Amino acid sequence: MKTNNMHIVNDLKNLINNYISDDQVKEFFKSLDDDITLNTGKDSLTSEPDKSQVEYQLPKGIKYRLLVDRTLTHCEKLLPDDKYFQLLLDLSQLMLFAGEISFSLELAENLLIKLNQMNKYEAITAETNLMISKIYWAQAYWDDSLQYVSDAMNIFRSLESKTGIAKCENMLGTVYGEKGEFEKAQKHFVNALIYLKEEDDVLSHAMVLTNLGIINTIQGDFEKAVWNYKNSVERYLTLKDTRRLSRTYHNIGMLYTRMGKYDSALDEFNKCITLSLENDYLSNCAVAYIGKAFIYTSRLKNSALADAYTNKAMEIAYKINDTLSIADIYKIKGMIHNDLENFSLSEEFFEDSIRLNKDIESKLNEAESSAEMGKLLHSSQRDEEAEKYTSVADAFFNDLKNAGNSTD
Amino acid sequence: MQNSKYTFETELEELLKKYLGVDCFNKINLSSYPAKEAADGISAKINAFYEDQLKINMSDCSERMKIDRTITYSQKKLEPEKFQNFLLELGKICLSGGKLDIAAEIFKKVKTSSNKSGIKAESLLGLADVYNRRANWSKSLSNIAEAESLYKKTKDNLGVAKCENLIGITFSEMGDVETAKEHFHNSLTLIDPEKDMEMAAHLETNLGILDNVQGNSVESLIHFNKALGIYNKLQNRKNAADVTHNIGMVYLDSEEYELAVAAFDDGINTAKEGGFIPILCLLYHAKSRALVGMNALYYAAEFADKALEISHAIDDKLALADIYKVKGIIERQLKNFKVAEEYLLNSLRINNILGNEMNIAETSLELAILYEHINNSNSRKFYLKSSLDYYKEINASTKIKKIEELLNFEAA
Repeated sequence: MKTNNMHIVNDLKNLINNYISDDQVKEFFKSLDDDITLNTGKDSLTSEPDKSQVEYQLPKGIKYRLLVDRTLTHCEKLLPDDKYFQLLLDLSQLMLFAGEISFSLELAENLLIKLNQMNKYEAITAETNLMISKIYWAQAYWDDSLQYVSDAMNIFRSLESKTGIAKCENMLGTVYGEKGEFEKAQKHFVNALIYLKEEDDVLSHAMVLTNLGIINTIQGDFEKAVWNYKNSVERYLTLKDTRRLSRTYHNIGMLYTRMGKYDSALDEFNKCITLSLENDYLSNCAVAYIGKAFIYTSRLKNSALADAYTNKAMEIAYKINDTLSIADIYKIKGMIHNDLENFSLSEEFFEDSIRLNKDIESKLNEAESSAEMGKLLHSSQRDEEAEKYTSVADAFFNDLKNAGNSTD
Repeated sequence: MQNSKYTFETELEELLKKYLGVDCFNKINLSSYPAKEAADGISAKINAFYEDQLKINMSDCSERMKIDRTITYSQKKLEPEKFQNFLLELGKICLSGGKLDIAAEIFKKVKTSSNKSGIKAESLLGLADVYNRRANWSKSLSNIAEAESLYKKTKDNLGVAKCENLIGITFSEMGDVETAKEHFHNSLTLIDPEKDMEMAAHLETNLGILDNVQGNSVESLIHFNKALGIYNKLQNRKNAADVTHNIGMVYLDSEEYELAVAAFDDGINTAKEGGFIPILCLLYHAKSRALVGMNALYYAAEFADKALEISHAIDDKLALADIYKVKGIIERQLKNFKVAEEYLLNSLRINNILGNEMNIAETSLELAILYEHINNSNSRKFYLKSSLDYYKEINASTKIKKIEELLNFEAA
């Protein structure tokens, strides 16, 4: 039986033939048909965690949908409005964690329409706007995310809800952080902490601390980052919030990677993955797989295993429409093929990563991929072309360094 | 490692206990439905032809990688305007394959990068199509309005006709037959059918669908056959499969089940070959309905389940609500009345959210039939009347007659 995959590839080929007809296209078509998956072989998957992590089967979303729909039909009759709305919001959050992005958005958007029609329940309306902002953020739709967080912020301000405003500040910081605008991000996180100062909201506090940890990691302030994560982990443990706890383990893994402590980093990624696989927190799995793949390719030089991890991460990122992760996966695939001296494919993957990061305006990731591309081109004696990329990377990292110094 | 279903169900149970209280929660049974278990039992025995029809490979992340590689490659090789046109066509391919996320990403890329009115308008129309397929009517209509104003500025009649057609489709999917028809006719006046053959075929198809809704099966088939002739001439297999589905729907509504199944099988064949997943979803759903008519309930359940799986994966909420309705009918026929009621109420709840008046009326009618079986005359009457109101509004004579007979039967 033909797979659907073949249809798309055939359509792509027919389409591109209408636009480009030179011989180069034939080479490109050939490379599209090549199986570029590296064979891990049984031997390279010696560790049990690696084996179970790479062989993880993604859950089927329709099972969730059937249960949630039945639940809602029952509860619509049984619950008073305010409780039913809160349930819808909780279910939207649950579906986001489960990687059912469209369904999560559907639940939140339908709720918002209802709430706007009723013009009552302002607090939950604000929370719903914030939820939608989060769903768009998860897909790198920054403009949509910012629009909804601004709507949420306006309502929380009118309600004089300090925790609500703090949550919005945290969301704003998160969006700017993903875009690589770290000064702006940090300001919003600090604002969030100010609003939370006299509030008894342990969860929001922990979330802001985690995000500050990420910014401090990127800016190279490792001591502060360790302090941030230590505090947020303690809070998540108290709250028994496994999802956010496991995400923080991933963030600590990233910190150790930056510090060059690769064994510790792998331990943290494994902690994150173990918890996330047990509970099907797809998004956490994807980022931690990428973290492991980076170490396997850049330090341990196990290309096949790194490739297996990027493939699994790709499967998840594709399902949850996480474009930011997809762009990162391409960068690591570029590094893997560079190590294997498949320079042409490596260059192509770096180009994919740079293009996607430009499209979604993720400056840090664009700079990281540009730096890798620069290295590749320099090593192939294509210095002039390399310069174009290294200058992009250098400009970004210099700005980052300066911003870090001025913050101190 | 914990089983994922177990984990999710546990979390859901905890959430429900929090909201409903333990006592009330205990009255809700979230375990599997009996008919599903029975259908699973038949899975092993399902005949080879049906089994082959249901075998598809829906989602593969390597597709995404190939699409990304092709975009990067083309961006390097093509002039900006050519590249944008390439992206528009690629976006449409992704739409045909039910890949709405990447289609939206592509159309947004064109929208933000192009300064040419025609290209920008086309990208807005593409985005409107994505929103339409996700039943987000307001966002779809606002994107169409933006596109239409750009087309009007450049006096691009075919562009305006495309907008009018998509507005018509949106109203048709909300069940507003008259407004939909008005927009399709507006569109027709803007094109030259000899020159704009594909557009003419789209409009024939859409007018055929409305005629069928209103019970004019002869006129409907005339429209569909005209459209099919054009699509075949243009070798447009995707739309040919879609029209074949619609022809089957006319036979289904006339209760000519064998003819309907023959049309659906033909459509399934083409849609599977071409990987036209959204159309395949509609065809599985339609075939399930035909199998219900033929009383082949377990086979019908298999097709409905597959359609449900696809509709969730491609985020086709309208289809999903309709499939819940079919599953409700199957359970009702199997006399699992409680489960049938739950599926039909699921369908009604989602259709209410989507604001689809026609589907609300259809589901209400099925609920009324269910309540007749369980002797709940108040609910039966309520749903019959609400269904009748809609069919009177759209002047669907066959349905009106059927419902009035049901109401009179009770009165007698």
